[in-house]
Amino acid sequence: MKNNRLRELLNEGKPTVGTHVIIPWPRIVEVIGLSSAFDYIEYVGEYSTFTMEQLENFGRAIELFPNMSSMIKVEEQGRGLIATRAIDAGIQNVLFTDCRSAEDVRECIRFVRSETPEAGGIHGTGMRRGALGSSPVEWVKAMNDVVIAIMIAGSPGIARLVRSLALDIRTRDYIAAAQTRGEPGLRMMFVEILPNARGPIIIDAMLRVGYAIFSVGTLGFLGLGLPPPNPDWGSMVQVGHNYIFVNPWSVIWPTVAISSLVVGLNLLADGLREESLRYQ
Amino acid sequence: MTTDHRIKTPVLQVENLAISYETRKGDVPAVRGVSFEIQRAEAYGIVGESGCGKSTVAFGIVNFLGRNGRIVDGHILFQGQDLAGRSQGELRRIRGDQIAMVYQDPMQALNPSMRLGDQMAEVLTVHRSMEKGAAWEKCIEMLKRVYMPDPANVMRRYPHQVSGGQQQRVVIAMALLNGPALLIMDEPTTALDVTVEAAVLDLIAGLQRDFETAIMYISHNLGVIARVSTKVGVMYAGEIVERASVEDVYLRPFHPYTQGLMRCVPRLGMDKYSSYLYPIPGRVPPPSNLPPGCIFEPRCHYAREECRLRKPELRLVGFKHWARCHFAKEIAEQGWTPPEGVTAELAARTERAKVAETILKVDHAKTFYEAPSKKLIGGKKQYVKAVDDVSIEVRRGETLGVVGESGCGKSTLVKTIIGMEKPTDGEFEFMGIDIAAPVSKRNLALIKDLQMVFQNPDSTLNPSFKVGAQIARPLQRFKTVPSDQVRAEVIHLLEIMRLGERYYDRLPRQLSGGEKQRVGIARAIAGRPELVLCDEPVSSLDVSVQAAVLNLLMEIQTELGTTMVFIAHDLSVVRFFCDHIAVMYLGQIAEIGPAEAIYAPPYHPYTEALLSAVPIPDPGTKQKHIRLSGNVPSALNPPSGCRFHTRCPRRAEMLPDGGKICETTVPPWQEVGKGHRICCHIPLERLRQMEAVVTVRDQVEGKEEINVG
Repeated sequence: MKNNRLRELLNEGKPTVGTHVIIPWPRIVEVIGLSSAFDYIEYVGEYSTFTMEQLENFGRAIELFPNMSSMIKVEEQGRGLIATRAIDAGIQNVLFTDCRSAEDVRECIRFVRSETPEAGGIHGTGMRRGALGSSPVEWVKAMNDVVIAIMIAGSPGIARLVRSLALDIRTRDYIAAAQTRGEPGLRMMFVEILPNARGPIIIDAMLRVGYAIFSVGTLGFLGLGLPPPNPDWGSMVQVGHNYIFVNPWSVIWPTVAISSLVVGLNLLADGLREESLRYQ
Repeated sequence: MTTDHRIKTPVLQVENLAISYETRKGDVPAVRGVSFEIQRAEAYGIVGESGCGKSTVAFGIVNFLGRNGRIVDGHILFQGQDLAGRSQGELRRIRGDQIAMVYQDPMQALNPSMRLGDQMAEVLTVHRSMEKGAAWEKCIEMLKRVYMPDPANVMRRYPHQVSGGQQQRVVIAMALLNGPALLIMDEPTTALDVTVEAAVLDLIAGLQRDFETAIMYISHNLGVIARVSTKVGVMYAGEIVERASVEDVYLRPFHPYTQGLMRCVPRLGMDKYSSYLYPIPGRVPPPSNLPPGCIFEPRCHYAREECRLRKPELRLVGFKHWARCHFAKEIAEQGWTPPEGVTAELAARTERAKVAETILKVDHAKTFYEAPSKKLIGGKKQYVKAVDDVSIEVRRGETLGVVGESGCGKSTLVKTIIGMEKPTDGEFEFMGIDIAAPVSKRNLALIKDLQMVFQNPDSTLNPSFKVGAQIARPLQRFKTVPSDQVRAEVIHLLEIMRLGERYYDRLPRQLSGGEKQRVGIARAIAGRPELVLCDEPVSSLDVSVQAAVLNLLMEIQTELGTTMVFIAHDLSVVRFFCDHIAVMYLGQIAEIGPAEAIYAPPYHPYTEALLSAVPIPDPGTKQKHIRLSGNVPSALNPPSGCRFHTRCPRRAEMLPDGGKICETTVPPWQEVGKGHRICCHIPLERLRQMEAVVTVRDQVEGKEEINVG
């Protein structure tokens, strides 16, 4: 069985360097492997077209390089199927995208772990290559070594915003003054920096509420909203637009309501920011 | 200036100009009743503190007031034609390209994504429809006239590839391309170093001679105005309070405000043991809430009943000398008596223990920053040698001043001492404790004893917290007083700072720059530190506020015996405030010693050049004319031997074979005595023969004259 370089490095607590590939050709893997500049290759398999055979060839090409391991990025739909096939093909690590809850994450982990009796399962491994080439014990080890990367959807936007604000604020003299008082890191973050970043955060939060209202409206229009008799602006537009030339008012009022709510929220955010940060 | 006796139309004549800004709270009269005139080949200086309407007048002349500003009264006659109240199109026709303006920050006036040559040539190709080749030639010609070295090469560069001083030259050359009759300069040297500033001021004087351009020069710096202009208007809160020739304004001021300004700037050579700075009490009234009578009455030492009731007119008080004061002549005759207690204060300053133990000792300090390698993979690591082999000693209760051009490593030195930068090498000892560790690894007692005052008043306080809470924080953290007495202690500190309890609940945005700086100082001294490091604490303050803050620092020092390290680029302030001075150049100390010794021969050639560049607010002073050529070399790859050899004006004349030794050998430290050391190859005897850079008229007599008016 091939060693899992990524797992080894992580266990040693060392940093790792990887690269993305969009095409799973074995030749590309070989070129990257021969450069010996990377610890792993991530195949961006999210929403892309590939055959099981291509995955197999990809996995075999990786086996040529003991100092490099592989990873596949899979989308939310059908992730269990793709992840298990990929591991079977020899791709050693998996990146799951769009995880929305802790239960989601638990499910992802279950897909790629063996269900041996030691781990509380009953099925064992039962994978093809394990049955043909190496012993099941090695396979269990390989599966337990799979590095599971999780991408958490939604947070990077606000995180990036707050990070950029913090990077700016931390160059100010009052932060230097706090440093020369030897203030601890947590106090620096939450007392000295965060209150001064509040303006853009308020705006961003309100904009997000606006987007959410728009998406709820869109869903309603597409027929996924609340069914009558519950009131839903999106559904009202959907029903009303059939009669738009006969009676436009049944469309105009709900659309005016949606847009004025969103615009109003944005104005409110602007006002809040101005009021809380005046002259700063 | 000229001997031409024909009657001439002034280039610019401003009569009774009033400009208002419309705001939500109603009209704000920013400028009222301003009149002056500028003749051909004359430099007219407008001086005043920030917010007094200097720039508004300039913007009014070029009709650049923004959407909410407008001229409400008066006339602006440019070459005899009125500009006020005309539309943009008409203005363009009347004034053509005859008025040019130069702003404070050259980097903002130049487009960073265009080559300098293209930007300059554009002025001619677009406005004069000149052909490209001819325009290019003319630009090179113009760059030569502003003494730009290697103009053809500069034309092909981008703005970031030339230094700040050269950028400003390009901007001035661009302004001159159309041969303007009037050149308005709004603080053109404020963002530049003192040596570069001196060169730009020389250039402006030269232009005035060569082109006979009328120049309107706006600055807050009394010294700069004294150097460039022939006539001066002093502005206060939107009005001109005094105008006359430069000698009259500086040596025989009539208006109490002008007198106050002259008294609150330290002159080169003054020190804190023999003289006192008299700050003007109070602050400039906001233009939306002006006093009904004389605008200066609330702050005036001589205010009387009449001043409160009746607004004074600009009156003739001498030959071509105008002042806006009811009692100008009386005040001038009466003379000025310093407020009581000053002599006692001076005595207290002198009395402090003369000999004391060393509190801070820095030996061979080095702080390098790693510079990113230019190659993608591999490549040798390069270091920016911000501080390279610096040794200083500070004794208890003393003040060490550190001066030098920007980028010489003075701030890095201070940051290394306080532990915000990691030293690369060297020994740091504070009260016998090794302090080479970063601030996060130091123990609280040590952190308490080393505090810092920062430069920028707008960022020194956290805008989210009240003044009281910010001063209280070090008290709580260092447990200076029991927790139930923190509030009382904060109020006590506010009172020391002359702010009082009513400031306890204010937010930083409700404070003026000087007040913020005082709160910053209160916060630094709250934990009763042994050593306070001041990084340019007064350089962004107006002169009257600067005087108050300096006085405050001195009082604290007298009362608490605090030791200070004081960084500044204003050499007059450093001379006034500090006991010892270190002159830094490119990460190294060039000269160190007692303050009075640094400012008298023997000089290090760099100190000599710095001193000759200082603008002195006294037109009677004589100053040697030494200008450094070239730019400060990069600290990434400093010159071999003596770091100053590339710009040294003295080595060729004072050393055999043109000072070859300076290029190869690191200069030795030469002891002059009393701790005064110079790092130079030139023998001390030669250095001693130098003349003093600044010759002040007989000191006592001079002062008498200023005070009597």
